[in-house]
Amino acid sequence: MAALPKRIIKETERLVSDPVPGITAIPSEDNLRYFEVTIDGPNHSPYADGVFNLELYLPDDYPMCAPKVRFLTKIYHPNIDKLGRICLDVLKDNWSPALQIRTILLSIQALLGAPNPDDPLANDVADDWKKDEKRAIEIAKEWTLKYATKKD
Amino acid sequence: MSTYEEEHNIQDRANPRADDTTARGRQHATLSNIIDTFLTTSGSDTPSNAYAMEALTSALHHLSDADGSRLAQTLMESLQDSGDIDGKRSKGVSQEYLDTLERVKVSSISEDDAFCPICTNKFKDDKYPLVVRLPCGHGVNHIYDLECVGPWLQMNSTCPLCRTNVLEAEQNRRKKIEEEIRRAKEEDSEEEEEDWDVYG
Repeated sequence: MAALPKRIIKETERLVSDPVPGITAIPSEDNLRYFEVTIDGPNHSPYADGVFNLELYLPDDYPMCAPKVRFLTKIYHPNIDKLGRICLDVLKDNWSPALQIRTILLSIQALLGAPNPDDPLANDVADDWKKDEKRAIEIAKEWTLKYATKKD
Repeated sequence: MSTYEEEHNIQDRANPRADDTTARGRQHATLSNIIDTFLTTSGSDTPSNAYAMEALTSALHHLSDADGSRLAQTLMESLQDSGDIDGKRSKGVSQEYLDTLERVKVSSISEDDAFCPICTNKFKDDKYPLVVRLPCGHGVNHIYDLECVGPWLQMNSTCPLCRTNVLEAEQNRRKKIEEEIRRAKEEDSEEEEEDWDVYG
């Protein structure tokens, strides 16, 4: 494998030494491009009581293309599908090499606080969300209790 | 006795030579020579590639219209798919554009710890820095290592910091300059009309 670019090393060091509140990202021992990530559900959201596990992978051409990020914890959210794939512009067309792992993870945390059923990835969830938001938020809370790790 | 045509080294219109048909045929685009043009130019980012692409698409379009063949249809669809990829590639800037980007002297950068937003290394730590400023607009100072922003701009012509389309920004900048030159010239010619007559 090619040597790890200096930028990835610097980003990793900073993620460990100066972590974003409510977010952890730990590189895997055998592949420094693979990170185990946790994101705390934002306060005042249906996910507030849970900690969610994700995986993040930096492709070979990072930072010229976006990191690949996926939820491992099951979550009820209109922009996250059954496989944990995330519909977020900065992970796709709006990626910019000036963005970093930490900014991307912050965007994902913000997405939990502001679901966008008009740009859905999980169509059934988005439909529920638009038809009966109160009920959808209830389900999101139930799933958080059931599948996510409890906050300390 | 030799004929008029022989004496003047021209062909009898009534008896065109055998190779005349091929000569005439060559002037018409046939599917096979369109494909040839496409194959020889594809892979290069030149405008002629785009032209060849267009010619091939329209040729296939005619073909599928003419006999409703599914093959032509399939070819066309796959061509359009690859066209999307090409389209994405052509979203970027050319090498010439990169060469003309404004260079920034590192000694002129006021902040001591200014760094390239892409590699996050300080400009001043670089032994052989090659720093460029993107034409995002007035008052912004979006500077990068050319080595870092070059590959990005070749894929995507937007500033990584503000998403300004640098191609459009550059075009607008040029338009403005041309406009200014034109206006200056008009004013000049009003003032010094006689001089122009002399030197013009």
